Amino acid sequence: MLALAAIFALRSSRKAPVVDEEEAEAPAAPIPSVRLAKVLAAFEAAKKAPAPNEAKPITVDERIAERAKGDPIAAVVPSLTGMPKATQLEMLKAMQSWPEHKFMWQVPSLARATDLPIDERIALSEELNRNLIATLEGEGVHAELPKGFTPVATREPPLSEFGEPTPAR
Amino acid sequence: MKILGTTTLAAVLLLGARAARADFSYTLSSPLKPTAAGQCAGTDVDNDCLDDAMETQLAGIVSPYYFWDETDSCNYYSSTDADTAHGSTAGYAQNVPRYYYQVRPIKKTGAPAGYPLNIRTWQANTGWIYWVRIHYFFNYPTDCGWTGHQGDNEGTFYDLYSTDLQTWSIGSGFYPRHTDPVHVISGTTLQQMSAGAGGYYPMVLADDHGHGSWEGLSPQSTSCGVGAQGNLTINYYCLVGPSLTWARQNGQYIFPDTTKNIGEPALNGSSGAWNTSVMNVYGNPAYPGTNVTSLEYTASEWATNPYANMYEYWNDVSATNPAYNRFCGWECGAGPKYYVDTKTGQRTMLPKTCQANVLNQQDCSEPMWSKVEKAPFDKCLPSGGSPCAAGSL
Repeated sequence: MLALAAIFALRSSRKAPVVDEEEAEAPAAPIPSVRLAKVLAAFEAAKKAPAPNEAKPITVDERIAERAKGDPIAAVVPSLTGMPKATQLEMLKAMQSWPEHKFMWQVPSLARATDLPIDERIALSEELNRNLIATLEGEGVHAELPKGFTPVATREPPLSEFGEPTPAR
Repeated sequence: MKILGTTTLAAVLLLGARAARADFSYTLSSPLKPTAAGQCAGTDVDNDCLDDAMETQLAGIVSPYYFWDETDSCNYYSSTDADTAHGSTAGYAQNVPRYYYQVRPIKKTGAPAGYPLNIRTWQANTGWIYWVRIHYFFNYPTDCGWTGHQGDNEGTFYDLYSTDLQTWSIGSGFYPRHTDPVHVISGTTLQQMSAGAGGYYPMVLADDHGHGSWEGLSPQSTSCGVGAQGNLTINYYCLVGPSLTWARQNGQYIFPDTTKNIGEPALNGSSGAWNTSVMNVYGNPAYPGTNVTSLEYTASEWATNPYANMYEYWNDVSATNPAYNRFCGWECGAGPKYYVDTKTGQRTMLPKTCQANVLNQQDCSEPMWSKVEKAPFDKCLPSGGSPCAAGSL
């Protein structure tokens, strides 16, 4: 009896563990959120960093690094790849909500810098563009530029590039 | 009956389509050339018979809507300096293109007998159609594409026609981009594209980072134009917003500046002269008077690079002088550097072209001379002469 109980206990211990359903849907590890926090921290730091303003010859790598210091967008883009789609989307939308217009302008294109499938990149870019457009239209600050001239008319193209001399009367 | 009905419908459609053909047409405050044969404008520093003030007026009127993608990091919309190590004016002011233009008569080829080839003999309202070309130069300091290069001389040009010398209509537009043959767009297509988007002038769309000139695909489209590759690097994105119409209605464009008329290159066998108020001309060399300013160079660079070494030459008649062989976005100076031919991939060492380590780009654009309009024309006396006699240009 004791042996039977021991065998039963052993078999029970070999069963697949019962996993809470809610736990099963959770991320296997909190990597995205950690990465997101790191990226956001880097982003905030980059926003505060002064723009490079030294006139000296530098290498391409140094140039990229220097740009990243003063350009949060450049700093964030390389960090997006590899993140889950939802995280990338969250990042981009968050960035677009920031008040600095110059960031808002650039965010739609960042969708292209992700490593999502091309169709999803385009769809994401279009969605972000719609956000941008809605914001701009809501502000009402953009209007057609004046030129101070309106064309008199249009005309039908001539049948001949040379025309014909008018007969003398 | 059914066949008749179909035919009638087709005829109506054809008539309707024909009636819809239209070119943009603009009327100047006075004729571009004196209306009488045998006369040239009194103010004509570029020696092309056309009135200088009307050249400026026409160029200003036709100056196109010029669109960019919002992400182009080296143009008007850039929020960061594409060349942060160069100059103290970080931001778009460093990257915005410098605008120049030409307005010049066209000496037509294949004309029927009696057509006035000599510009001086143009006369208003004779039934003949006269043509001029306006070339807009969009000279960017840099191309931000892959792999990019210093200097990025882009542009577009339009041929306009007139019978009375005062009202001019756009017959054709020319849109160069990258290594393509120049794309020729009919005036009607240009009008339909712009008017469809609510516009009054021709349109030019610059592709993202590379700045090639496109005519647009449709008023409802964001695409640069027919043949845009649709990739995710260049040649696909040319606009802010969801369509050409939206971009125009929301002012997401500029009108290229028309204050710098370079005039006409001085060539054997043609009339024409550089405009010396815009171009410095010393014998053969000609380069813009605003070539080098504090905007382009920091004080230290200014000190170490003598002004005389920083020309961007617009002419090389013989096309042999290495010093004239590249457009480097105001980076010309002590060389040497490499130039990679984009068509052949051949890497060539050229002396005295661009500053190294300025933009971290090793290449430059084609020479300005390859972009300047230089087809010969005549305006000599006595009227009727074409070609002009030697020494009478």
